[in-house]
Amino acid sequence: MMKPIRCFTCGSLVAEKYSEFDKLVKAGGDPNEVMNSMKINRYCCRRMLLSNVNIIDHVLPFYEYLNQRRAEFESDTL
Amino acid sequence: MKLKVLEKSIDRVKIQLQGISLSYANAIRRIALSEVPVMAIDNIIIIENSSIMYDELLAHRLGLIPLKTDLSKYVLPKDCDCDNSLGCLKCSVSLVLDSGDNDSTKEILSGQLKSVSDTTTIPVNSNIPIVKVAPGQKVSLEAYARLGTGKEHAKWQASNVSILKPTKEEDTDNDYTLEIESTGALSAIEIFVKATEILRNELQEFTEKTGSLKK
Repeated sequence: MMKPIRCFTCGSLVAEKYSEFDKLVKAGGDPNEVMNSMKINRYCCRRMLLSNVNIIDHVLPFYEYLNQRRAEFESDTL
Repeated sequence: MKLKVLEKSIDRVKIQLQGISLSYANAIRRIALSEVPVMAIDNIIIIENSSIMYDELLAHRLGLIPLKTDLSKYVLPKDCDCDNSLGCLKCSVSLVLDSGDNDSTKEILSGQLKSVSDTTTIPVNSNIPIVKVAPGQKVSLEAYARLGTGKEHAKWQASNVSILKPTKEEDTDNDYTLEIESTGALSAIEIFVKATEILRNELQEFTEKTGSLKK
């Protein structure tokens, strides 16, 4: 659902590295080189970053819209 | 017996052990993995959770956050004389998390997890995302961290990597290299020292028990 906190296999912390990794890759960096520079050496930790999908980002827009509609509805009825 | 530190940083240490038998060195390696106690969140009281993440998942994520541990201050719950399920000041730390109100979608980070009773027991990194909340959603909870060992749950594992291998290609003259990597709760060298201490205490207990058999 969200970025995993630790690597499933070795247990090292990966969650805090994700946002930097994501930023550098979206800026056009090669994921392999970005991970090398961030010293994520083991392949168990590397797949944690590579294969993650933030499903929460696909779901939250519905709740944002819901909140917006609720505010509109409340201002209409007043 | 000879000890030589080959590499040393806060979260990683490489030590050459000379003149120690394989079984003894391996005991240290295994204890570093499963018996060195560290702090992790164990009990959670959820006051409000209107985020889309289930309480269980939220609790699991909080548990996995490594907390800075001061082993001199706390004891394992089984060694504590209190009978409280949430622990006392000697065996647990309470933390609070409150997302507050927000106008836009925001990520709640581990930096917002505030320690109440002890300000030194805090997450090792303040940028670990816990949950994301949309406007109108709220997360408010109380968490209790305690010491535990890796045997019980992986969240209490002090070192995530602990490798023992012969320094030279062929394994002949009791010369091994031990590599310990820490999650940040304790420094790697602290894990090594604590592991040897635990091994010593266990052997001592064992000798006392076998000594009593003679009577």
